[in-house]
Amino acid sequence: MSQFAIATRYASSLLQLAEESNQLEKVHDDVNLILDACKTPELLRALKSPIINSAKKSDIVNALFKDKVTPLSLNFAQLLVTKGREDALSEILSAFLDLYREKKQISTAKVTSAVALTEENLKTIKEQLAASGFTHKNIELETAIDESLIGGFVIEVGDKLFDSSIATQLQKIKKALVS
Amino acid sequence: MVGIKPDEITAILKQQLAGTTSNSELEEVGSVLQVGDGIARIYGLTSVRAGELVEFETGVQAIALNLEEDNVGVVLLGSGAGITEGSKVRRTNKIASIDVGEGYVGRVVDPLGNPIDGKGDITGKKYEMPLDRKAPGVIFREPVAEPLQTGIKAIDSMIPIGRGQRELIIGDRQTGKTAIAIDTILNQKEFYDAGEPVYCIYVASGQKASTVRQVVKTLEERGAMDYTVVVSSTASDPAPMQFYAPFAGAAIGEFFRDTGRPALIIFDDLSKQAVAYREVSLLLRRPPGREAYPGDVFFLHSRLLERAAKVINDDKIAQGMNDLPESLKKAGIVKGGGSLTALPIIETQAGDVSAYVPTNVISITDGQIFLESNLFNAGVRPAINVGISVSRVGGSAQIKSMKKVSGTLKLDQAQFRELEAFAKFGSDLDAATMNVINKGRKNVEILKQAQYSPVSVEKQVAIIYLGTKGLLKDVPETKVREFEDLFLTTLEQRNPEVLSAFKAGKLTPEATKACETLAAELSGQFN
Repeated sequence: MSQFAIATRYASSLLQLAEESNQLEKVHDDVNLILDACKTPELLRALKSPIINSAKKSDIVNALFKDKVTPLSLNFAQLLVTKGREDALSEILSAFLDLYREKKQISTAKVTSAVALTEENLKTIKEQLAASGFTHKNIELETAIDESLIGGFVIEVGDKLFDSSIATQLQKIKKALVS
Repeated sequence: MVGIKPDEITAILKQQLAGTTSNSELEEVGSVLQVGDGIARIYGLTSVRAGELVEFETGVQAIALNLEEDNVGVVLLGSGAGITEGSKVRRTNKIASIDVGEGYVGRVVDPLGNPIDGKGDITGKKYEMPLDRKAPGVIFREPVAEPLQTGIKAIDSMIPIGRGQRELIIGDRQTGKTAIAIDTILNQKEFYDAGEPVYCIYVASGQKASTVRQVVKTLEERGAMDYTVVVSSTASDPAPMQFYAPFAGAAIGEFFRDTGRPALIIFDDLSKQAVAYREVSLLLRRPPGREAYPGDVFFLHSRLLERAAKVINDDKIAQGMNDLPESLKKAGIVKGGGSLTALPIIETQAGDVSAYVPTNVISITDGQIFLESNLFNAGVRPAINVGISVSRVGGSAQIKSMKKVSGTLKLDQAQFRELEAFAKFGSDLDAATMNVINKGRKNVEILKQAQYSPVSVEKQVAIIYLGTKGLLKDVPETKVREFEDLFLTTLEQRNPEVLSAFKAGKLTPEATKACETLAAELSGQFN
């Protein structure tokens, strides 16, 4: 089975369980916390290592997260370890976040611009996006700065891309003149 | 020097640029997960359609073939250089297609329609034709009834091909498969000169670039490029280009077919195309089947060859044809009565016709022309084995005079081959048997033909008439071809009305009588 299918299945069961026990927000925070911890390469390497046995891995998970997360989240992490799916941990947690956003009608949009945008600008972008119908009502904005765009901005929502940067427009002019 | 004002220049530049800087549009993008071996897996592109063209940042295009739950498998139509993990891929919202127009005639193009003969851009109005299109349905077709003259005596007499038919040319390497196809193209010059061209499309899939060059040179030298399009994807092109080449050729052929004109397409060759398709399929991790070909290799060829058709001779019905491209519909140039005849070529290994791809294509086509290397080496060229070659629908497409003359030829030759096997034992044979053998040998000589020398159908009728009536019994076997040349030129000079009667399909007693007298007169010179 593909990593993708595994991740979606585990993530959706965690989501359902969290919802049933009214701990969705808490679990969401836990997931963010664990995902953050997973960014440490040592932990990731330890979890993915085939040499370290599952009892040891279980101890590691316990020691790390016992006091910081809800029992539900901890049990979930333990389950992954006993089922031998700890190598897909970060994929599963990312899938959980995707499902959570879907549930809460949140879209994440990535805005790249040549210069830093003002709060005002970002607010307008948010409003325009929400009105466009391509996204959910609630929008989380991620911003990035890329000077090679020269001017304008690029917005990415999922696999949709709105490009109104100067660099792209120059490219288009070049294409039109050359061909 | 007459001065140009700077603001004039600015005005012109502005005019040129207007429109290019139009509003940015919402694009759908994905990012490359993995790339290599001419395929790429893309994350995102969730709403891409099967068979859609996508474009990479480097400008290279690709076709989406595998739509999976978490990724899209695409095949690159160019070099993968410069594409890295994380590169953006853009949807084009266009199903893989080729822009076809009258300007294609006389040109050499690649499967995407880009000219590769160095003669500049293709001019004229162009219409977007999808590479992969559904074949016309039953009500838009007509039975095959008009002949497609190949100019090859053995084929036109015994394995006749009709317009809209699909006739397989099959044989080992070096048996003259391409030669038959090229001769057929050359023979269409007669119709081009008469103002009723049969447009020819030669598709080279996985051929050597030198071979393609040779073919183009031959066609150019003999004035055949005036009505021919060559679609070339050579062995060094990416595998997807090789397996899409026949589809591009078919799309060009359909342009002529749907605008009410006859066209002929040659797929040289489908075994290499199948190999290219196998390569792509295996790289896309589709399960391999027999001989490691994917499960849909039969469908690959059947849907391609199904597009060869004779369209009903009724403009109204033809205009309602299924899956007509929008571009043709809008231009209102769709007409009935067109046809697309396909001559696919299959190369067998050591005469093994029971391999996977040969059996598939044999079962799809309306007949096959078998070429054999032992016949070729024995000097019977074209090396057609008439015993096992058939044409399932061509009989109704023969002109009347040819049909009457050649009616018994195939049977006669079968009988001759059986008796010839006996005669090898050297036993004494009775006169009747000797007669059959003699006639058979002369007929074999008559059916021999040099490359690049197609014979018009009326001349074929005249000479085959002599053969089947046994009028060559006084001409030695070795001199038959010499006799044929002399006979045909004399007939053309002395009795042109005989040839025109044959051409009109009439086998009048006066005409046959004239042939008999002339034959008797000339055969005296050859004793």
